[in-house]
Amino acid sequence: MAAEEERGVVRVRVKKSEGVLPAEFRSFAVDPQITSLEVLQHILVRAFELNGKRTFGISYLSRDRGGVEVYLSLLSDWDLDAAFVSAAKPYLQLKIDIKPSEDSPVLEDWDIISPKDVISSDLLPGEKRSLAAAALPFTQSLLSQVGRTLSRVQQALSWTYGEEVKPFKPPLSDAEFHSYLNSQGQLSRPEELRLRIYHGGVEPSLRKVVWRYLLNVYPDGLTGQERMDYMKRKTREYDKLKSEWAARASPEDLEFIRGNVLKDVLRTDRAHPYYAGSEDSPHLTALADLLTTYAITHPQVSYCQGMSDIASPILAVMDNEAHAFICFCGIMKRLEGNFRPDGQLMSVKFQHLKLLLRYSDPEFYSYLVSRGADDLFFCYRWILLELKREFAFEDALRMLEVTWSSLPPDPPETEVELLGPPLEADKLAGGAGAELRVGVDAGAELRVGAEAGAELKARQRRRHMLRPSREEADGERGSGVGEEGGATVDRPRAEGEGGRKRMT
Amino acid sequence: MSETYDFLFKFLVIGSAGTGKSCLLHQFIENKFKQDSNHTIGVEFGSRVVNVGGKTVKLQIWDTAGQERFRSVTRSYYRGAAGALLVYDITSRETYNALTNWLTDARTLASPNIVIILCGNKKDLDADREVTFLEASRFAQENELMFLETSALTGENVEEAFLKCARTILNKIESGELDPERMGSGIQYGDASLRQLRQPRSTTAQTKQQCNC
Repeated sequence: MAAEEERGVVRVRVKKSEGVLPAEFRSFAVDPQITSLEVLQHILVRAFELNGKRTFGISYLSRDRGGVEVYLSLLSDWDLDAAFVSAAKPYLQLKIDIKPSEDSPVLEDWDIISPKDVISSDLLPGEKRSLAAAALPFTQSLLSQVGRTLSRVQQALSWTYGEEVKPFKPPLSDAEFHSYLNSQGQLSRPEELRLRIYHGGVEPSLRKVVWRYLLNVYPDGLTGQERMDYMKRKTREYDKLKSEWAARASPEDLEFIRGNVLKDVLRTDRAHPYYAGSEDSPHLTALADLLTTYAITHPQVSYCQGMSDIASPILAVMDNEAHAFICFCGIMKRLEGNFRPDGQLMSVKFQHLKLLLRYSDPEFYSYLVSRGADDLFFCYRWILLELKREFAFEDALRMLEVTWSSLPPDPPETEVELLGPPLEADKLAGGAGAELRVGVDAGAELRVGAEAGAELKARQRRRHMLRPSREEADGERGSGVGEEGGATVDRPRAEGEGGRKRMT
Repeated sequence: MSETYDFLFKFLVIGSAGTGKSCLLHQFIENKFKQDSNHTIGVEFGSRVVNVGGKTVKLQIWDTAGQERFRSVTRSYYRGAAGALLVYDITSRETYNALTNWLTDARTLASPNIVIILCGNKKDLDADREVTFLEASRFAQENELMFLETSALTGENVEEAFLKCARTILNKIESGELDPERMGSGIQYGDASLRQLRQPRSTTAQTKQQCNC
């Protein structure tokens, strides 16, 4: 458990030397996956309360081939990666040397947001705008994105608005939205649009249009006409996928998926007028069809409880099944990992939340520990549904758009993918699985010879939905559960299970 | 003011999606049927203090999601559960067929000693019944489960199911069959009053020893 807890975290100890002043020490933890040199620099500025008028050099303790300890300079992200790889155990020892300097405005001259700056951080410290400022609109992403460092979180939590920034504005109106488009109707300032929405949300009538940007449906630079053509084309693509259910899944799989989807659709936001009333209302059918199509076209994820809550507000806003599906694919690109049967991403998120809580509110954290609630399972729904169920429907729409706008734009390269990767070829099926899954035209012969077919179907079905994580769980059991003696009764494993374990 | 109780039992409610697990819990805690119930994501909690055989017992109930996809997380729910309601829907054979899986999970992941009561829910929908009382009670017998048919809608047998399970656990504590102090027993002591309860147990143990001589 301890090892799992620390997965993805590097402990860092820092010594600061400044002329004749006594040395100072700090320690903290970072996530090496997403900590750039720039982020590290900012953490150090915060940790030692360095004001912007100084420059400093960073070096890390390493061992050369002879085992002799030497400090190597950290000048680039490449250096930092090397340090994480070679010198992070048991902790990364850093040294910073402060040099007085006349002009190095690390924390000065900031202006609000340039999300791409945060993402592609190749700027030198001297010419850098404040990350604290840039990070602000991404506060919410802490909830939904794996891997902000604790220190980034710290910044976010301790951040207060400058006086010149008005955080709250009325919802974005149609007229104002058009000011973000150029004469060809291209969205010229996507980051600024997001910041604007972050501060006030979107007028309800405009959501249908604006959510497509927030959900990363449109590639960059489309004109008004191109957007219309794009949506028409994607709609046709959806209609085609929807007509291919029978060709893409066996009748048993289809029935199984459909059954699970319907069970949940009939229990999703039924108190809201859009989904209220008769069980065969067109809106419920649209939601069920959309989710079924997604499950069938994304066999690696299939359908999982919680997806109906993600799709429901989108369908209610779009009021168009195909458009809702396209948007759903846009958001699932980011959320899909939460729904994977192996549950790994959710485990990581729980670990991050735990670390975050332990850091930000140690008192509350130790209370939870004393009550045996430090697993934070009560947050499961919050994380999986990004708090959607914790608000009344209409409030949830506002909360969602504000949360989404806090993430940097991530438009598709060319177009949003409506079709997920096929299940990987199954070794036992001799690759037949893959061939069957890929490019089966409607009506094509899907039934293989009786024996192989039956076996394959059984396996597909098991993997598709029937609590497919059972295989994974068995493989991992040794490391996870089982501290409590007696609870570790291992189920016998069938031949070939090991191979399947790696499939997902 | 904190509630006083002699014991705290951790309970699970498990079973396939749509069998009425959350509604059973809601009926037990609120004494009414939950209309427009959402499907449970992850786990939700409820608790109620009940009186069983002269003892006050706080039931801490973990209501789980039926479609158990996230096993790597959900399997941790089972840890240290003292009792479980294993729920199927009498109008759905599919949910009945899945019982073996759920049972294996409970006994493997919680504790082999976990006290389980099988609940055939939606008893009020007798016209749509797909699983007979007889068949299910045979299954219960074979697997050493207690068994009741319940209705979260009318409330029939709902309280009984929880109480029966709690009473059995309490009996097992008193007979020494269950040791609340064992790690992961799913049982915690409330206040000081419990010490009295432990006394007779050690007496029984001694008596047994004497018998062996």
